[in-house]
Amino acid sequence: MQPGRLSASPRLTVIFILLALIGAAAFISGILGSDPLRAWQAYLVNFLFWTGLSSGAVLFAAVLNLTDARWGRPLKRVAEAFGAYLPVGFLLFWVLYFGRVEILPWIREPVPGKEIWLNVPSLFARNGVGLLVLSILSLAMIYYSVKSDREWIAGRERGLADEGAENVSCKLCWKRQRTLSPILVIVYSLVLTLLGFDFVMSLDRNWYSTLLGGYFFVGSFYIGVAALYLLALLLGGRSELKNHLTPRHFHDLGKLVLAFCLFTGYLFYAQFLTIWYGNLPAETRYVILRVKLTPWEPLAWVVLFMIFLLPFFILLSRRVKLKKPGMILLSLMIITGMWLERFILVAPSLWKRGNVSLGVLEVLVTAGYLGIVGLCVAAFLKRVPLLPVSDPLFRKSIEMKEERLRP
Amino acid sequence: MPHDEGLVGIFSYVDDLLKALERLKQAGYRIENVYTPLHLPEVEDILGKKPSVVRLITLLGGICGGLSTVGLAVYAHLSFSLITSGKPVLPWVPWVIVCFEGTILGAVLSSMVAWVVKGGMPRLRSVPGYDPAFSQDRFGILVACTGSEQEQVRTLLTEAGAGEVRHAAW
Repeated sequence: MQPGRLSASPRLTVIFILLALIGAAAFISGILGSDPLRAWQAYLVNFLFWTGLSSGAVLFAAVLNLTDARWGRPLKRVAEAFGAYLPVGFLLFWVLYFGRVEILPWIREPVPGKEIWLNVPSLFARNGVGLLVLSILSLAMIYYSVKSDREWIAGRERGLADEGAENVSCKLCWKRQRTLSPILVIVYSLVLTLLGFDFVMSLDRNWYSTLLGGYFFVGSFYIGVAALYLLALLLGGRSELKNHLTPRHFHDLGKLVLAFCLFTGYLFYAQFLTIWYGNLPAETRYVILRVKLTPWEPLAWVVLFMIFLLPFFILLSRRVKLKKPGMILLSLMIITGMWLERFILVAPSLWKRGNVSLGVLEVLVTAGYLGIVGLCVAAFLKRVPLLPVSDPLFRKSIEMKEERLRP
Repeated sequence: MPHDEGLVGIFSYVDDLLKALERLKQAGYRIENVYTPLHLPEVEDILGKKPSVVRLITLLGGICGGLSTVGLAVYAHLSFSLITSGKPVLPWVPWVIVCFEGTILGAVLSSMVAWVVKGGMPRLRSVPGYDPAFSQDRFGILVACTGSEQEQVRTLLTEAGAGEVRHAAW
């Protein structure tokens, strides 16, 4: 079996470049215009969303390694592709430094007693180091995965003469992936918790919630799995993947999306219920502003429907999970809903005027980020085999077809 | 013509079971029963059977259970004035848990009752062709066939991957 690479049309690359340029132009004109807060707010929401999406998708590959899962092996490379954005995301993080006065209200009005944690050098240092470590670990895991496949393919092209040496190298790469995966899972949860605390919770100077970090990284994994589902559905028809991505894979991925839809909803409710019961002004103000007061209340209901209620009832059906057009629409709805969820976590803390700051500028900045992520993913998939051919569990899944199930 | 005997093919793998079912269906044999230790929607698809009514009963039981517990909570709050300071008289936020628990309870109980009734339990007579392995790690297909057809059915089942083919009568 000689695995193929993605043969993306040059037109797609041009579209992504255009999107990135349009987004950059909109952002720059926004920060130089009369209302820089709105541009910085859109940038922050997109940074949190796309970093969560990419790291969540890479986490999927790490979890596959960690659990010795065979079912999702053909999806491993597609999941790893999102990791190509992480170093770019690390660079984009530093742009936030220039908008710190706009997006971090505690710089203008320091909170007494919280100066040790809420100060600019410490905040950017800890988040920068965290994102750097997350990017390095993700890229290292992906590097060993790709390196192993390339050596395996090169070995096949040379013939089987040095199969022994090739196996030693592949085994070493596999061992390193297995070592890096659990570390990546822990670092992911810590770094995403940090992002949630520093760039969501601290925006409301007096609000605190110990569960927000967990909610934030589980939500990011939900976005990552939904994005992976969408990309797998879009790539599934290609000849390189067609024989390996069966309806059973999409059914299982649909079940995983349902599971994380429930888990994200559960964590939201666990937090909401605790705040509701305690009824402490320092805690309730954050929730009341978003779910009870104009103008944010209708948006909060839209988010609830898009990321929890509709996916929950739709994904209960097995037949629906096997329908490609329906699932593409559902994944898009979840991804859009989660973008709005990140928006409603951030924006009401910053935007104090009587309207919802959602418009052309937000759409253009989001399009810019989409262009950057799309370029990274497409560039990665063009250069690597689309299937993890040397992965021992992928090989096992081929040798023992999944249909040969035993109870 | 009704049959009172047939053959049971015993399979280890799902794909062999599905292959055998498809071949038997194409050949026009009457499949009396399929035994599996786990739910396989593909079997229903091949046999053209509608999903079991147990699903619907479970759903109805769940809805009734959820509504009943919320109804009980409303009744208790209004009858005994269970008003907590700073909270609404009928607080829906904590009732999500009550409703969830009631839904699960209703669904489990109705599912169990439907399963027992629909399965005709307790079954005092032995089921034709049944083997305890069908509740552990094997699949079985009971095909109704007379003496003259039995050789063809046996060949078909064996070629499809049956590890063993037994005679059964009822």
